[in-house]
Amino acid sequence: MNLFPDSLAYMAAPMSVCVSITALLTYLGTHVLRREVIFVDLALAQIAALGATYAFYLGHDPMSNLAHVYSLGFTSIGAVLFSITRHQKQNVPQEAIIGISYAVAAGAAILLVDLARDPHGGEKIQYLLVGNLVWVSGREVLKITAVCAAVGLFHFLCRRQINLVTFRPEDAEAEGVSIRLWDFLFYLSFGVAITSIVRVTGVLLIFSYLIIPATIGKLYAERIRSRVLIGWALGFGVSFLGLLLSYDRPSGPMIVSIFGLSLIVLGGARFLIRSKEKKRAAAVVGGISVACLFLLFGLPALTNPTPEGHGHKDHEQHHSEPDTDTEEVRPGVTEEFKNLDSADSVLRETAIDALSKRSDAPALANLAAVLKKETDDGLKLKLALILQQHGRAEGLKALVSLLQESEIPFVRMEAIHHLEEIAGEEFGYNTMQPPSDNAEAIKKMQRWLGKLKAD
Amino acid sequence: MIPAATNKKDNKIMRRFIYSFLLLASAGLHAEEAGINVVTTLPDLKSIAEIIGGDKVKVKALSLGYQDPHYVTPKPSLMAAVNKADLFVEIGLDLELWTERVLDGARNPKVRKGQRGHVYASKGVARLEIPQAISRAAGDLHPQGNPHIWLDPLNAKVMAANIAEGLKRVAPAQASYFDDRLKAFEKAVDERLFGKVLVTLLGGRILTRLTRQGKLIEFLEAKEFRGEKLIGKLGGWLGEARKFRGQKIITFHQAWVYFANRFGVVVANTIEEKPGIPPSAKRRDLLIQQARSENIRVIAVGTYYDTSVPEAMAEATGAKLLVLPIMTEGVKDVTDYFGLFDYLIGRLVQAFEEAKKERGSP
Repeated sequence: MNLFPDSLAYMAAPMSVCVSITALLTYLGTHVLRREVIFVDLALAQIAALGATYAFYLGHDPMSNLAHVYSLGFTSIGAVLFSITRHQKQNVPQEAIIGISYAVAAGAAILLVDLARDPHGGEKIQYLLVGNLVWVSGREVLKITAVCAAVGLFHFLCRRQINLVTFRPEDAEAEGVSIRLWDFLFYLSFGVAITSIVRVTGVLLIFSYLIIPATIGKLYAERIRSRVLIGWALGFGVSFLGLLLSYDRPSGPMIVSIFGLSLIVLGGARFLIRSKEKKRAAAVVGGISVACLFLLFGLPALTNPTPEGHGHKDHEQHHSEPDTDTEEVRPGVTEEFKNLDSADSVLRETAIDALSKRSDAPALANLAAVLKKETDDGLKLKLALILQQHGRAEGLKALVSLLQESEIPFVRMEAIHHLEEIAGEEFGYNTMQPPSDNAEAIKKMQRWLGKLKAD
Repeated sequence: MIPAATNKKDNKIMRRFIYSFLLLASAGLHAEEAGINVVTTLPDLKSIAEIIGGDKVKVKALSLGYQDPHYVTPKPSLMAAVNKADLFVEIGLDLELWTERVLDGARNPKVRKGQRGHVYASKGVARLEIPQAISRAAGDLHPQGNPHIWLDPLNAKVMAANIAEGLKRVAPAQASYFDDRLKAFEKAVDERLFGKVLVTLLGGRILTRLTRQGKLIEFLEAKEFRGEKLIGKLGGWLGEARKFRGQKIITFHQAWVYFANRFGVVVANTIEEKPGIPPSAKRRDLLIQQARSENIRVIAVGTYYDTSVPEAMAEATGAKLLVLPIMTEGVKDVTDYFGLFDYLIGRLVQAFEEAKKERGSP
């Protein structure tokens, strides 16, 4: 099957990244789901990008290490913001704060880029959030692995406190764990990981890795450990499949789509398994599946024009360039005559070349007419030589007139060269001097020309 | 209660009042500025218009040299600039997809498409890459051919003639002034392209024709002048470009066809397959393999693209990565249209020389 590449070597680096981020993000995802801060990764990634943009505004390269420091600085401020807005007794949900942060950070970044007006890569900023998994370099793989390992280690060592503030915040204070502090550390570590990963994977992929494995884990298990294990299995599998299938396709969107598909299938399966009325559940799942299949394949088959009809339409839109097929059907001369009058000297020369292959009187008469109007001294010379070869008097006359008038030394040189060859005598014409300084030689030529006519 | 009709009318009167006030205010602000107001899309058009218009014009470009010319945000300030314009110059060929919105918002009937004050600089330029059949599958779709025409100095002569024609339409009294400046511009392009010596010997007209036919080098190698091969007389940009003639590069976007066609550098491939979609792993493998097997030493990227993918390419193949402006004012050193080619050719020559040294040393 030629769908697959000959070698899977291309998958090594991207797959390493996928393994690292699956391991970390699935775990963080269970916390994010519990805290109901689904879009916090988008907000933190955007805030990090704002930091890089600010560095860019100050005149630094947005990809530099210094810009990374700004990113982390901004991310910490975001972490402070999200940790202090969690348990406030207020009528504004935290999701609103997160959404607002995202929007404001995105808007401010665009504004800063516009204010910066520096030629070095304003558009680079937007790439900070796009990423490109298959192009990841070895250095970046190491960096991401290190960051994921460090953040993972931190979460492993402090699992008691972090689990407490996520899952049982009401008990935290009683056990001497500061919610504010641990919330801040949670968001900060999260932000550090996101800031490093997003440059390679882009926000779309980060979001999927964070939420989808954790969601599927939640569908099938109660305990955190089981959820994470299910999420890992799914994440590794989907990453591998996605990379395998995306050899000739954009890999990020492919992985996200397979995540989505697996969620639909596993979600439907869970609905069937857990449902008390199996028959009814099966009918619902089956009905939705049939409706989807009809929409995706049945409806297009019914409404689409046939492929042949489509191709025909394309042909009609075809640009009205001169068609080679019809040209061959023409008698051959009309087209050539038309271009003889063209203002474009390239087209004119093509026409002259085509016509000069013929030696009949009408063709030569036409060439002589073109010579009269010709303004390009190079083409004048060419026409003069063609006509001369066919024994037309215009040819020699034009050669002499070029020697009398042309401002182009090379043309004068070619003309005198040919003229002396034809005449078999030298006229003493100096090519480097303008025609006005060659009066003597020109007189000699004219005398020779006059004699030729008399003969 | 006020009837709706009156309300509408009031609104209209109010709007008119505000517009006339704004117009008066802007007229007052700019009363001291005499001359023809020219607004162009690209800085390259601005540079050419300044050369042709001389002291009779005031030129402003809407896009910046390091911006992607396909996408410019139509800000109110752009519309305000077009509102005051006597002449509006764009490339056309679906390059500037945003001008329609700017022209609509500008409320300046003089410079609308088809009016006297509107110029398509690409008129009459021989275009490359005209698609054989129109299909969306090709991604970035330019049904009229590749629009990056300004990267061939010979096209600039046509563009300059179009601009001169537009200037003569809006200021007929200055016609001979613009004609003279156009001639001077054409001569300047020829001398910079071929070198002064060759232009004196052969004249710009013949050289231009031979170049457009792709026969220049062959011709100069075959012909002699007073016992010396003409090729030795080739100077200017084309003379410099002989140092990398026939060498292969990989570029990011299909912006370099006209440049490559003119200066003889071969664009072996583009990293971007379809604009806006990240290159797949297959494409990466193909490019890396091609770069190795064809010994491609230079990768060129426009200033407004992300360099991470080309950097990865350069790292994998050992090729040099060149970030190059495709427009005037794309980098600080390039302040006018002629400077663009000085810069591009200089950088390419340097890159190929360095690559040669690096390959040659071990």
